[in-house]
Amino acid sequence: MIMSEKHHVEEHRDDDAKKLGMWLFIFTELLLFGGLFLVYSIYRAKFPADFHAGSLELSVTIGAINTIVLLFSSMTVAMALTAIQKGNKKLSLIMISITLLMAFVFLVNKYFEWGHKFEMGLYPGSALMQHLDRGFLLYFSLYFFMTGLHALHIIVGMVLLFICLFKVKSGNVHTENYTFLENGALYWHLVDLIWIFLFPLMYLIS
Amino acid sequence: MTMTFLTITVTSFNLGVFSVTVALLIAGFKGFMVLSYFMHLKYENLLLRILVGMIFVLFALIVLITFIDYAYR
Repeated sequence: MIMSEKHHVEEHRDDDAKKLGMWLFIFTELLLFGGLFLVYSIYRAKFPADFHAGSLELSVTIGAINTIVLLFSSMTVAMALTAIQKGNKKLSLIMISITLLMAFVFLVNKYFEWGHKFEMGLYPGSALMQHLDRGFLLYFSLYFFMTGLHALHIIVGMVLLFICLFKVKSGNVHTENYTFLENGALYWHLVDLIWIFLFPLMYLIS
Repeated sequence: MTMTFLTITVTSFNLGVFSVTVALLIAGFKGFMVLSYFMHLKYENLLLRILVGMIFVLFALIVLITFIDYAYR
């Protein structure tokens, strides 16, 4: 066997593959939430009145605020990426920080929303919930599960973005090597995308 | 440019009686905007765009088949 020359690490870098990898993962996430939306659709078709009544318990205002918050955060993370592509490290750091702040605001709102439900005795496994009619039970179970899973994704996204923050700060992610931030931003956009569908389907049932 | 998308996509529904279809259409449009611009799909190579399209077609098929199955139980 002929020994090949020792290659410098950089030559094996494959940015397109990294991006494709993230997209493939995003596909699995889409199908995961897609499946949940499917469950939701079937049961909403089956219990339209209950689903409507259930949605009245939710605060459209807080939901709308959260939608705006996430859309704005998607914009700031996209701006962070553009900034680093142009070599503007400081702006990138500021934008990522704003994104993280928005994410935190979203979670705080979620805390208030869920807290209100818990106070009413409405939480998974509660006595009140166990005695609900079928349609209501389905609606609130789906509500907790889907918004909960989404909130979990927000937390994961925040962790990712924090890592991005440190990598940009240390110079690991820079104008010639920004795929990590790009993928982090993609994940964040996915989280926003899911919420874009979650909001009208949960909160705005006429 | 991104600000424009933001304002386009922030439509307020707080006025009740919208049917599911309209809500989904608007959400779909918003989603498409996010995908194309924020997620940069518009500027990516063709393979990625085809893949994303395929995933949505796949999902639509799954939904369709499930509803057909459910409707005829």
